[in-house]
Amino acid sequence: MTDARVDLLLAEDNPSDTELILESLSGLRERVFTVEDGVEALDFLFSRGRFAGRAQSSMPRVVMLDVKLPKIGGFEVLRALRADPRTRRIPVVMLTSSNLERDVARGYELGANSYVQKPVDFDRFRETVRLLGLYWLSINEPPPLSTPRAEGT
Amino acid sequence: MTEPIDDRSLIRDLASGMTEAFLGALFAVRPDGTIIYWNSGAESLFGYSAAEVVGTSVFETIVPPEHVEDKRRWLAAALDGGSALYETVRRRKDGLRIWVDISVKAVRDNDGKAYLLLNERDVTRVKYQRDATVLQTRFREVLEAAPDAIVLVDSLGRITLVNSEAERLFGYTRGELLGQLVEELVPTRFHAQHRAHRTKYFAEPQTRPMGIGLELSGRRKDGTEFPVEISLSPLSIETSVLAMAAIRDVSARKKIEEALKSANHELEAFTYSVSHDLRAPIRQIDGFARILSEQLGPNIDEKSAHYLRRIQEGAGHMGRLVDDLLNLARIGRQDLKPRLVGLTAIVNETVVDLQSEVVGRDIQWQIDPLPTVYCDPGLMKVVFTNLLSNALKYSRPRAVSVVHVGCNGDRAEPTIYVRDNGVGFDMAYADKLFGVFQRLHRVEDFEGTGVGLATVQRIIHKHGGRIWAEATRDQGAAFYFTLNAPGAEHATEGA
Repeated sequence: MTDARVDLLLAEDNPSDTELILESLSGLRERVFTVEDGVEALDFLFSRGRFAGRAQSSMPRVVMLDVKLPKIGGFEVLRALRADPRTRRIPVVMLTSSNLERDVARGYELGANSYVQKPVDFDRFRETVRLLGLYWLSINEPPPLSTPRAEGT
Repeated sequence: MTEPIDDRSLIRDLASGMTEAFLGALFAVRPDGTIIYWNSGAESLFGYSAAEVVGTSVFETIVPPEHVEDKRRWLAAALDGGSALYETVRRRKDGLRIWVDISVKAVRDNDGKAYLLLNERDVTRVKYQRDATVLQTRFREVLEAAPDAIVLVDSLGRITLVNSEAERLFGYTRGELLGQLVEELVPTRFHAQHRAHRTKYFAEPQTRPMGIGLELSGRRKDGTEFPVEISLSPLSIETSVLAMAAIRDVSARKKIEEALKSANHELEAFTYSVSHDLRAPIRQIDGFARILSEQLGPNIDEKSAHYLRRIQEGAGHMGRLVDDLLNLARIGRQDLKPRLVGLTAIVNETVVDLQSEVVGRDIQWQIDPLPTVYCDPGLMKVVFTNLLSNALKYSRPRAVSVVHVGCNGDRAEPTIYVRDNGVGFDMAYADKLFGVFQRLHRVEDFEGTGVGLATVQRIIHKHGGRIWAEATRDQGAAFYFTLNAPGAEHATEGA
């Protein structure tokens, strides 16, 4: 499964929400890989733990993070990604139920590329997720992968 | 008249120590104030050793700078008159002012040079007890009638009078307090700060609260501390000025404030959790019901389709409830950002926003000129959005909906109203209108969550205003509100 090309890494602990998101992404489903907590998300992106064999040369075009993730929360994952040259440029979308202003502010503060509140109404939810998939997987030009060597830090 | 004496024999005599036991502080100065003799009683009274002060001037040590002129005159008078008895203020080495009773005698040595012999006793406590008796006959009734602890302090920082409440609050008797430094009632760590503020206060005495923005503490006799609020006012008595401190124990209030703070904290955590966790299951119910109905396709039977619709309606309503409640909570916490705003502009803007809700309906708007008032424009928009959208909603059964926004009353306190020709309501339930989740109509007839008017009321209260409604069943309704001056925002609304 990890061998397949992953264009969208979805970190979402609620299986129902995951299912609704995948349902809404319909055609893009097989390009999505799902993890259920913050540790798994970081393991995946840094090829650690059960993802140790994953090629570092391949990064998803976008990471979608729920704010409330088990073990390591969404904001902490975002902070870790922004702190490492290997993952610094990966577009991150905070996809969450919360629209609290301070969460939105914190997301941008930590370097999120987008902050989207999951609408409660399913029609709007489906349309939102569909547009997000379309934008980040088709329209947006992904960043060239940065390497520690090139960055030199 | 001064009589010449042999000064060496006098000094020997005085130094014998026997007289000191009776005399206390004894010292001798030349007419210019230079100290030529200083006994051990003087050392213990003023804190200076003989080695430190003999040969120096009293005007540099024990005479407070503010009294130098007086003391020079008194020395001169004593020289002329031969002897004098008086009470005055001295400064100790540690800076503390004390009251002394002085007996001074002019003497001459064999060469005819004059000396002054001074014998001094500390009468500070005695003096304050005595003065308090006089003050008390004048102020007792006023002081005892006050609900606060009252402490009068003179420019030396000493307590001149207290009332019974002060005795009770600090756990001292009147006798223990009179003549003490007021710092006795202040925790030690604030003493230096308090002394500095006290000196500044007497330089420019005026009525004011003490320590604005600071947490003030009092200290009881048993050493325990308690939070206080203090109001200071100057009190002129004859030629001197006293500071009158009215002290209130605010322990109980502080405790309530703490409890309120922690309750608010919990409420915020709850709101946060609602905003995160309650939305997800609502969306899931709605989402899976939708997917299921799509799955079943056009072949779905009538009953199943109906149930699925009911599920989705329920989910939708729950979603709106959560959003409205979060909005209400947010407005409760939000600080008012008032400025001068023309209400007409806000109403016009709101009318434009609401156009999409009334497509195909015949609406007759009447918007009178409205005043420019001091208010939070963002929140005022929420008020008009709710009131106008209610007017539109409840006038929906009419062929032509008439919505009238106007203003009554004088410029000082204008009353704004929104009136419609809708279905109105029974005035018997008018008191329920502004409660959260209170609805006077069935959801089947008029949709809504019952949070809108509660939100409106909270905003109006935050502005220090009032809101009320008048209606007749089937004859339309009118909502009136006033707005008050800024700064009143938390006067009526605790949350």
